[in-house]
Amino acid sequence: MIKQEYTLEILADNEFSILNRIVNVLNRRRVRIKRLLAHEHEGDFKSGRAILLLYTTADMIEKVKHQLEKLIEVEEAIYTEGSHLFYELLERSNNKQVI
Amino acid sequence: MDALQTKTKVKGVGVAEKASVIKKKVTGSEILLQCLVNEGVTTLFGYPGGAIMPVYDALYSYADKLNHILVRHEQGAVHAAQGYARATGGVGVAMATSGPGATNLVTGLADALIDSTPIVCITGQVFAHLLGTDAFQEIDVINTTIPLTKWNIQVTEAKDIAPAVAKAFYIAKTGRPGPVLIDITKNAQNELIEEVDYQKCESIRTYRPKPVLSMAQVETAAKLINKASRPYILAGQGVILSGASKELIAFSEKTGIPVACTLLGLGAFPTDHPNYAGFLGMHGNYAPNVNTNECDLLIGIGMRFDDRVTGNVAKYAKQAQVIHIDIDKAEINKIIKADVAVHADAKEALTALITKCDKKSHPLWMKSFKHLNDIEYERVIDKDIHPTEGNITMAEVVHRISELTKGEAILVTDVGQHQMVASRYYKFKNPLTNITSGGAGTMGFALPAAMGAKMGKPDKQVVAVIGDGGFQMTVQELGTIMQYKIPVKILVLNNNFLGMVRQWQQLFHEKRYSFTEMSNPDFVRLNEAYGISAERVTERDELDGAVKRFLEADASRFLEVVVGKEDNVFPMVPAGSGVSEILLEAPKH
Repeated sequence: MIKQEYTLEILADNEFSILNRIVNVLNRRRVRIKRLLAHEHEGDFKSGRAILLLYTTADMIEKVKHQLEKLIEVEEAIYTEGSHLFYELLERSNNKQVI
Repeated sequence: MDALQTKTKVKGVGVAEKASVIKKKVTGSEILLQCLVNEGVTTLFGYPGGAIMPVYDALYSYADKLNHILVRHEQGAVHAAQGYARATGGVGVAMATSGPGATNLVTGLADALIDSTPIVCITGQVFAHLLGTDAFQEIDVINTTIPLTKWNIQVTEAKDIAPAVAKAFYIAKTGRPGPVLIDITKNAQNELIEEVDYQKCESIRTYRPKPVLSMAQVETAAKLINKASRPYILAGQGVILSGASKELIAFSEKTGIPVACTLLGLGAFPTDHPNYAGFLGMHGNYAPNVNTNECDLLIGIGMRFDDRVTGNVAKYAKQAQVIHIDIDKAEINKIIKADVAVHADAKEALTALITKCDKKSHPLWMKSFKHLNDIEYERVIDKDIHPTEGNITMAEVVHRISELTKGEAILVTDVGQHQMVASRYYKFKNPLTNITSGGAGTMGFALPAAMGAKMGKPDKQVVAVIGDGGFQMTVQELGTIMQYKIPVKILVLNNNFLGMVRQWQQLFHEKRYSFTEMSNPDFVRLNEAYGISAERVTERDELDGAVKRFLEADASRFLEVVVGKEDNVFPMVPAGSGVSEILLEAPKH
């Protein structure tokens, strides 16, 4: 199957080890992480967001979405094709805008 | 007054009496134990050590409320907790110290995760200020067990213990059940805080364990079922976990659909029911495997299309439409693409389907199962269970136990040839009676799991069926059985080989028996050293009496049956083959 870039946004409780949990799901399935941006929600240290630029297949991104949503701390995992959204969110983050 | 008072909203039970104005101060350890009591725990399995000593000290005063079983190795504790959970349908609890105590739990956690077993493991941890310093017996148990638990948490303050325990039990037993681990630093165990009201967890913001049943999905599924001429149900452990066996029977009887069970699904549907189609999988029955590739509608319920069930996926049920009912959304379309996915609890889905599906029968389709069953009986089963010459077979031993217990015992199996034989020939009648290590295939599982099952169901006959290899992986638990006089029955089918590996070496590696033959100790004397009465059988005419003495014993009893060294388990779906390419015997060449 053809691999391509996907931007994956994960909304989660900002617990210790949450990034490990997310990365574990991806590593186990050998999904390549090209870039990763993670931050607490502005004014709410209890929740946060991870935005990942992944390189994988359509089948695998759908599967990892469901595996990620099985993590107790994860509220939602949403993906879109391509890298556009990732760089847009990265720029806003760099400019300290609420994303 | 108890250190903690239960305050629960469940079913309006109400709020317990208010604590006195000046609250008593208690340690984190006592809070932990009171939480366990409030969660209904009566039995736990564990092994003490430095980092969990405050909890054990508190446990000394809780002997009237919590029956702690001192195992001989932490792996024994976690498998016993699994056995307890699988036999009772409740949550099993295991406890260990930090470092190697915690890592010894790891195999059981992995096993419980893949086999959806609700357990809560509690580990001690070094003082919080020593975390990350390579202190004595400090290992990073959280990151070690993230991939092997449904959830885990480290607690470093006593105030966080009660909420962590409440979440742990809620997560372990809801949705698709699984193992949870709570790692508690020693300072939190020692810390004195004011007693708190215990509040059971009823929801977690980001966790939705119970999907809302979509009637649209049910109706679409029902349409497929109503028009199918060769529909076929594959029942997995999800049916047992959701308590849906009665609904499955009612659904099958109304729709006339045959039901086959996966390894962990055995017990979900009575094996003596006329609609029972058999045991699925690599060493399952002939008919259910062959007819997987003949049906026009496959209905997977609470099962995950494991590779031992599907064989080569490229050759799996290509002719059929597929309905997949599962509580775990990640299982749907993971292996087999579903034409209709019903993301739901099995009981709810079946209840809804019963009302939407037509009453039907499929006599020709059912007859095809009978025809294939007759072939298997003649070519495999009859020879297996009624041999007239040669060595004792594993099958005839299991068959006799099945007859004498009327399929009502709890059968706990290890991993290997004996496991497949036991699953083929024990005639399960009820849910929660088949306890085995399925997904992980953990040798050494059965002996401690049987202990746990017997502790959970003391009135049931519990029989552990083990090979000579697996028995020696956790044989130290004979000490636990001795100390607590746990009347579990231990059957070792001894072929002096790691039999399943040897079978593969014979069939696929030109009989190069690379490190699979075992020189074994005198198992009878070994058991007798532990005070367990024991018997060894080598001749067929001794078998029946020995099995009766084994089952009739009031106390724990050990039976070793010496079986053929190079007997194989058939039928078999060779690796890489489709399920309909199942072999009834070894190829001649």
